[in-house]
Amino acid sequence: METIAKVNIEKLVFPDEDKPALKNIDFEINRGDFIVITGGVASGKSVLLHSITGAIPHYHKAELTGKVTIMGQDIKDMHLNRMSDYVGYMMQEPQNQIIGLDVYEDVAFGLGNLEIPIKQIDQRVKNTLEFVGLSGYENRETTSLSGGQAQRVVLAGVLALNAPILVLDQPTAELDPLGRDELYKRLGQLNKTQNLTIILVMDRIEEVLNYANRVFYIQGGEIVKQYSPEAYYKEQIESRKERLKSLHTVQGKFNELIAKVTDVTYTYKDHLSGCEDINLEIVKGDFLAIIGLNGSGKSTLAKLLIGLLKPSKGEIRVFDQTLNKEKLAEIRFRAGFLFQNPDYQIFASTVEEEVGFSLKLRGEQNEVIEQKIDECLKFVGLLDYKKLHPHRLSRGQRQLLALASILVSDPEFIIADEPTSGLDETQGYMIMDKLFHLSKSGKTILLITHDLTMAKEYSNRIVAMHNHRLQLDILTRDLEEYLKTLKAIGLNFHNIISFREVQNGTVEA
Amino acid sequence: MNEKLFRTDTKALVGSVIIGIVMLIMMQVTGRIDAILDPTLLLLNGTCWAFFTGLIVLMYRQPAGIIAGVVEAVVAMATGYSPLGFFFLFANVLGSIVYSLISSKFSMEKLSHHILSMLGAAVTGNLCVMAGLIYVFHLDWKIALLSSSLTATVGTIVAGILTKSVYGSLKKSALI
Amino acid sequence: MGLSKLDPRTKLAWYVLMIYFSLISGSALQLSMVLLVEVVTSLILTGSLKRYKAMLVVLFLLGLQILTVQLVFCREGVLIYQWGILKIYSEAIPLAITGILKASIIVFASMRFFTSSSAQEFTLMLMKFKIPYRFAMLVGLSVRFLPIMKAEYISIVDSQRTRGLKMESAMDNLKGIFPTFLPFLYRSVRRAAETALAMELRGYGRTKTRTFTSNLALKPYDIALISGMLMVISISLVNKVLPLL
Repeated sequence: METIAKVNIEKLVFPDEDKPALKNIDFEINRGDFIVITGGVASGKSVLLHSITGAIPHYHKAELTGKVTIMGQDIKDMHLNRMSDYVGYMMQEPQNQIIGLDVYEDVAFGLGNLEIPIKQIDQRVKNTLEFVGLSGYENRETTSLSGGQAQRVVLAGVLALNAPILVLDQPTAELDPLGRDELYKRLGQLNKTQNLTIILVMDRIEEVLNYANRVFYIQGGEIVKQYSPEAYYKEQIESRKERLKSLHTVQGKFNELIAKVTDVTYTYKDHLSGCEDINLEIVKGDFLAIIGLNGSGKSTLAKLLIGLLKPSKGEIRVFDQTLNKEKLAEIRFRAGFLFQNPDYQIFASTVEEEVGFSLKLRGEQNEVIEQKIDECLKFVGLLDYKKLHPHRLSRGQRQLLALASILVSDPEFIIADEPTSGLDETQGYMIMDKLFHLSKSGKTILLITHDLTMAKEYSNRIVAMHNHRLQLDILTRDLEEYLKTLKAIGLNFHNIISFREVQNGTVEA
Repeated sequence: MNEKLFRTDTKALVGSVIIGIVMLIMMQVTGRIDAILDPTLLLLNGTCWAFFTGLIVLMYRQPAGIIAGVVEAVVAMATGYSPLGFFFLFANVLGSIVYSLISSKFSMEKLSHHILSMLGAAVTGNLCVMAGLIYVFHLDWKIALLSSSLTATVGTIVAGILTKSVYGSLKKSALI
Repeated sequence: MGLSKLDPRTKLAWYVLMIYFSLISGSALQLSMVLLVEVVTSLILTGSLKRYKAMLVVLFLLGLQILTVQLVFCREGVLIYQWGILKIYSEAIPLAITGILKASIIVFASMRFFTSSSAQEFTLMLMKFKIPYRFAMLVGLSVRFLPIMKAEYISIVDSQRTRGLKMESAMDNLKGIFPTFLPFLYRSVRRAAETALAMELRGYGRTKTRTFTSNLALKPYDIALISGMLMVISISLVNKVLPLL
């Protein structure tokens, strides 16, 4: 098998850091490999990808001891803007990687930089858009694309360059199950039919392992274990089983109502529907999962519940009080909202300052603040980082920090809007375990998610939304009876490889 | 090329556009607050302008400072965010150049370095605004001078302190 | 002929002409004529003035401000009214009117010019002025990111409100600047770094030139219009230096 790249990193250290971000890395990449990189929070997965793409050391300053070669060339000697001959790189947030104002312009961006004649550009753009399933989208404005479409446009822009290696950092972290399934199918197809070498940092275990041939587990900046996909899957299932044993689904105490939504409709300014005729009751102790495809109205409902949006019609009562301007502060005092992007709230210079912000707003005494900060940071496992600048933390750690910032106010009702979005599976489970722990201690949790596995494993109640309407409201234990109804609205629980399906240890490809 | 003055890498160029948009949005936010709190002096708006003029130069050098200033003014005009953007175009560009020239002489580790650099930028920017007030709006020169001096003084002190603090925090975050 | 058919350089020449006239015209009558020409040509070429609605509100507020300041501080002409220390002179209103007219022409012409062409056309125009494409292409980037970043700022404000930050009065907004601005700044710096990396890895700047999917070429009518406008400015300048009349 032809070796296409060699990665030998003795040590990689960022400026002002003592510990190396990567160490003792030594592996070869063969043409046609589909390598999956996995590992814990801040383990160095993305840093490793940056080292393969040349972003380190050319773009991010770091001291690299060792050598990374692609097709015989040392990347230290190559200009970053010439790396497109060898590597195509797709990062997490698609909107940050789209340059063009319309789809055609964006896919043609790289080709134009390579000075390819216009006729060839036309042809390549057409072919690539067809491959990613976006034929006819050429003139579509890029700002109007859904998350899944934007991700496919970025993929098209990268694929159009015909680089032999494709590097992807959690490519489906922001996609719903349908979008995820589609993207992985396309990647698998490229790998098999065009012998494209793929290296990716894994986000969801279920789909991607079906296409991979190697799995690297990275911990503390070191590849501590290499697996076959099957072996890795088996190991994961065992550890999941262990964790599941500790998850005894909580049940709401049906006599105490936390929130009641009555005939609520919300229409956005541009006459787009947000939610229509929603009726929902949330009781104390519920771990309620609201599921639905992207754009089904889940987040709108969450924002209505915390008073960020005002219903166009209907009434919302939280803690037995009508949600209106007068009661808003009081209600928010008792409720917490975890946004999908933790960076929307981080502004302080240290982790502890960030966590203490809400308490300062409430005028709590310094001693109380310090004690609560420590408790919350310990709960989310960030106590050792309390003096660090929050943006030095990894994405997963920043999400944990956001959770700590909410918990510090001791809310009775926590709304988590896609809290695992943008995180890999390990990080996602870590957040979910924390929410579950809170639920067991009597908090009411409302989870907005498109991750069906998470919804199934952690909630006691599932509410499905479709086309801005509440389609189904069931107990999770009755899920099996409603699988057909859910599939009809694009929520295919059959599609996810559940624990039960893999109990015999085999993976269905 | 003098590295304390110039940077033309892609990160600096893209950064200039994106931080230029941040500047535009924050100018609008502070403008709205000024409209209620001090509609004639626009002290907050002036401070916000001075702060971004300095911060962008510290982050990305030149021509990023000029690009950000142009982006802020032009996008403000084109989108109707602030149709008066034309009047700030020259202030943005000249203020940024002066800030670059002064700050390149210092290590920018002391507050006095920030205040001095900001003084140059604020005086230049406010001179441009003053010229506009006199020539376009036919304001009496004494009134224009008084108004511009006040904005420049507040801008120099407050924006100087803020630039040092925020730039320090950005460096600590390892994002730049 | 529609506005879209004109080359952006022709539109630029018209813009320069309007700014020039707004600055050299001294009387309210001259300025009114210039503004009228500007508005009428805009109406003929685009068929509607709807997009300038937002501008009218700003100009109205600016006009009020200019008028107030002139009434309070102007000391030219003869004293026509006095109430305590408040003195109103005869030149206050004419000066305010010319100020408002000048501002209106500049604002109207600027808004029209910057909305008259696509980002790609502006990029190509800058390249015709020998600006390297790495710089010229930033025009498109700013148009692309503005709506995204505006939405992001709103989400950041929402996020902090859920943590208990009040954003109701002007004082609340003042206090809320840092908790909302700083996350926005950090996010934007992160975005800038990722976007720039994505661009470089797609070959941005690897050579001095690149292929664009469209091109600019001056048509005979563009040349005629630009020449005409340059001639008008030249004659006017000569007339300023060596008055013919």
